[in-house]
Amino acid sequence: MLVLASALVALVVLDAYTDWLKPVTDRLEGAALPFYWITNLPSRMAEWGDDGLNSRSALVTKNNALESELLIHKGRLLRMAELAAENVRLRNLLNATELLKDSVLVTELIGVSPDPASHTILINRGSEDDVFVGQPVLDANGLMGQVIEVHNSHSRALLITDSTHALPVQVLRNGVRSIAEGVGRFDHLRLRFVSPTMDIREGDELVSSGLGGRYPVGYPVGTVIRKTALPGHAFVEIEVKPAAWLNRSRHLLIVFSAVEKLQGR
Amino acid sequence: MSRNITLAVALAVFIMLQIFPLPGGAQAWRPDFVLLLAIYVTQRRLTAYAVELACLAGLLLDIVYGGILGKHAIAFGLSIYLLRGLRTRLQHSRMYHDIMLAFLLTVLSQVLLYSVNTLTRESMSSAWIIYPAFTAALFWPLVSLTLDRLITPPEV
Repeated sequence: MLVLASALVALVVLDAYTDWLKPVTDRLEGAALPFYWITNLPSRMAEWGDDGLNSRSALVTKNNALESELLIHKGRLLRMAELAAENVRLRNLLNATELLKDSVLVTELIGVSPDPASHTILINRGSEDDVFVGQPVLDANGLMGQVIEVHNSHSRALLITDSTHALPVQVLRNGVRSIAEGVGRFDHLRLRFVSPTMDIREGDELVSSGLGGRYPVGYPVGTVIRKTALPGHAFVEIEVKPAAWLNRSRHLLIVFSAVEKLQGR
Repeated sequence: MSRNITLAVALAVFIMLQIFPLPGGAQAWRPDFVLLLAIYVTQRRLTAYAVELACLAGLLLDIVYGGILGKHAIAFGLSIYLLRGLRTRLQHSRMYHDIMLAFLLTVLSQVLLYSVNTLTRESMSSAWIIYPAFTAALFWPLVSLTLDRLITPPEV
């Protein structure tokens, strides 16, 4: 019994603090897919049923292609509001700046972590599609999270609402920067260590600031819904409602970024 | 169908129940179905290797969850080890004793999971610890009665 307990503790330590078990876990992860595939059957069957009622197969194919295209365009449009604001502030310097041009890959959600304390999802794109760790994932409304594990045909992404996740954001209205942290609730983020004098108001839209280099600049993160000043506390508490539909979206986008010089504009 | 095959099928079904997508808030209330199966196997003395099997089931769950390998194995293994120690006292327990036991063992398992999560900094949320214990207690009669119908107890 003692040997078994020691072996399990060693396994946890090795997996948590080293990469030694990565090849093993990569292989084992594939074994989990059938379970997710079966448990997703009801929602897939509902989707198939909807398709069958709507049209013939050719129409469905065309419809799916159009939906994918629409998602890509929505993803690009999300950045327009931020870019417009940036243009106002930096109009004179526009020719000297660089703009991030993002290409995206459409992906589908195939599983959600059943652990309520861990906000991770499985998506049906992996290293075969050139997905890599750290890539941002978004839906049609805003940032969802980032890829944390990549396997051959699927990947695991950490959502921005996970309690271990934080991302740099800025207020769209005035560019004030902060850090948005997950609190383990799909409908909730918070800004921590915000000074009472900082110009952040209820209703302000937050976008990714691009600091840290993990997330591209300008994608919607959420809206400030409450600002609470607690007596005796040095900082105010700010609650944010995520822009992305974190527990509803099934079709997502993985972002590939490339720097494009603004030449000829 | 032999008892071992029935147990293997039950384990697969219970793992699927454990990962079946539920709407947001309901996730936190999902009982540890695999732990309930391990408790059932131990209480009905279906095998002499209940702790080892609980660890194996926990490991399977870790693989399916995709988190840190071994955390469910530790939680289930220790819970079942404790239950095995109490087994002789609980030989003629009534249903409400068993429900209480399912509740307490789920709490213990959740606390162990939370401890491992905290130590490995995988997740720091503690809000959900107690919820699955309530639903585990609620589901225990259904689980045990269903398994009683499916699995032939060993001859004494």
